[in-house]
Amino acid sequence: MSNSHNWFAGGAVTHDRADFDETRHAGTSAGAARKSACATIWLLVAFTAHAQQLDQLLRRLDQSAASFTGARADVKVATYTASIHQTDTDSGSILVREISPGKIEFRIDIAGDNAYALLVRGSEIEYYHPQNNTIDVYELGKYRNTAQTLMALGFGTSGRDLKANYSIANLRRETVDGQPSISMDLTPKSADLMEKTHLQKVEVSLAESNLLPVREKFSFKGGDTRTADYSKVQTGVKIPSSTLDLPKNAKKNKH
Amino acid sequence: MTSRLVLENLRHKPARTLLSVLLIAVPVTLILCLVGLSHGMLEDSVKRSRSIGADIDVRPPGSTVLTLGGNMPEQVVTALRQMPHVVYAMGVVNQSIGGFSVATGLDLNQFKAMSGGFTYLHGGPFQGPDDVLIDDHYAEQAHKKVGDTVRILNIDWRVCGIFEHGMLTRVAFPLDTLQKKTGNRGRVSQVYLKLDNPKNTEEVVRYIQNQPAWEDYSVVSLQDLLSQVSTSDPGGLHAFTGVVVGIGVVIGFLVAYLSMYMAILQRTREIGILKSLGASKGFILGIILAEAAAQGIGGCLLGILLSFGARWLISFLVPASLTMQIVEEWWPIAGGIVLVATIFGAMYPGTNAARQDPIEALAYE
Repeated sequence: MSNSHNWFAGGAVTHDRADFDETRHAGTSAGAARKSACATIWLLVAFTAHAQQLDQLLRRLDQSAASFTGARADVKVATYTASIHQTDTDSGSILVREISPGKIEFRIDIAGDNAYALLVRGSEIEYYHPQNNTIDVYELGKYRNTAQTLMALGFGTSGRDLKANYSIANLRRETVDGQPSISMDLTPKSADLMEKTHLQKVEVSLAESNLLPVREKFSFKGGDTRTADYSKVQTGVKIPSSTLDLPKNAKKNKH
Repeated sequence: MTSRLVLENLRHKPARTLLSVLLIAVPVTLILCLVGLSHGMLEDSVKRSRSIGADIDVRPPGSTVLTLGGNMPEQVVTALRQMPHVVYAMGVVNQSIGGFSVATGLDLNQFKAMSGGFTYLHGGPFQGPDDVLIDDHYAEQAHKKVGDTVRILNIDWRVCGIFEHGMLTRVAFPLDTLQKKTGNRGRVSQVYLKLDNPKNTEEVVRYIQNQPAWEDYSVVSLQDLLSQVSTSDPGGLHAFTGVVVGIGVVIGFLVAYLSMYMAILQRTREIGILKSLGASKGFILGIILAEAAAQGIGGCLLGILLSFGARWLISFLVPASLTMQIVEEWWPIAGGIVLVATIFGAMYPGTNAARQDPIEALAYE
């Protein structure tokens, strides 16, 4: 029995009994072969179905991205620190604006004691600290596209970009925050990104109706997670570029 | 004979020789300054950290702007305090204040318990939330004294004390004030751990790193950090050093090329005489390359000398912002790179000179 199990699982077959029963072995082998054939067919069917569903989803995302002009949403971010089993919650909003097909700029505003605003525009990322009216400016360089497909994931992200940047697995239907959603697990394809950010996986749930994000859970090495829950998502909105501007009188520090 | 010829050639046009030596010295100085700055600043920072008596430095995992990461919850300090052999844990907030300078938010009582506290040259500890402590180097550079106002992080602070340099930081703020002013309430950037015995450092570092939830944190023995500085290229500056070395190679090559090209043009008749006296191609090429090498060696020596001048200038003008070290191990590296580039630069004009027809050369006006 243990032998057939090992064979089914693809492991090495080991014979741990010296008095091996030839007849019984023949019977077991035939059964195992039948089982393995069934399993292979089942896996093939499941794989084909998954591939078809994924293709459908990616096509829908491409269509949705093509008609994307902008979006605004409220966001609640829960940050879990595994070393102390503590979750900190922040809330705010996100504004996303399409500047040209496939290119977006966006601003995230987090309220509360540790309030900040973050603007990704062109090749720069700007952090605004209202506490001292300063902006830290970082050059994104080669991470320009990564910022778009990571920090504003799901907002105007095309199926083509998603497939190019992530390995997609575990495509499923589920209800998230009371919304019928399509969920999937994304693993960044860039080893450099994974090494730099320690990001391991992103679980994304998109609303079945409009494919806009409902929940994104970023899992990091060591067990830390960051979960963003989106609500009041409005799409098809035209957002003027100036709406995203950070305070003009803030002092900028280039890093 | 060859060496005399080379020497006479160099002496014949002293201005050109000196200019070539000076130009070759520039990339050598540039390389040595960059390496010296990266070593000096990191070692200075590590030494200041070591001076507080801590054994281990713990930093948050994978903090990059792309994941909205950064500091860690303050409760991490309490958790680290529970680790075996840890007798004290102190959390601080670090904040860049422009250039390479970093200010530190700290609790003075905790700091005193861990390190014995600052040695005040003027003034004393924080009196209010908007007070700042600066070290003597910073005070000298910014021309500040106790009671003055200093603008840092776009906020005006009152200088309440000036302490002796070499202790943790150059600029210190009250921890809770810096947390509030930078949007880091309840968060710290770094935790220093003091152990019951420094001999247990490796064991504690391994213990923390082996905890699944801590595996992603940067846990470093401060002693190791100091030894790493002197044995490797620190600060992830390999790429930057590579660029400067590349510039050095190009400058060395071009300087030697131009200098030797001009020298050969001016000495066409001389070369013709030498060839008509029976000098071989190899002999002519040898003279040109030896001349380039002599200028290269002179440039390397001058470059090394100039790096001492650069260090003095940096410590005189910006003692708080930049620290430069003389890294002797890099003398042969920087010199060798530029010398090789110089000899390669002289190769083409040298080969051309060696190929010259003696009759044409003698007729050259």
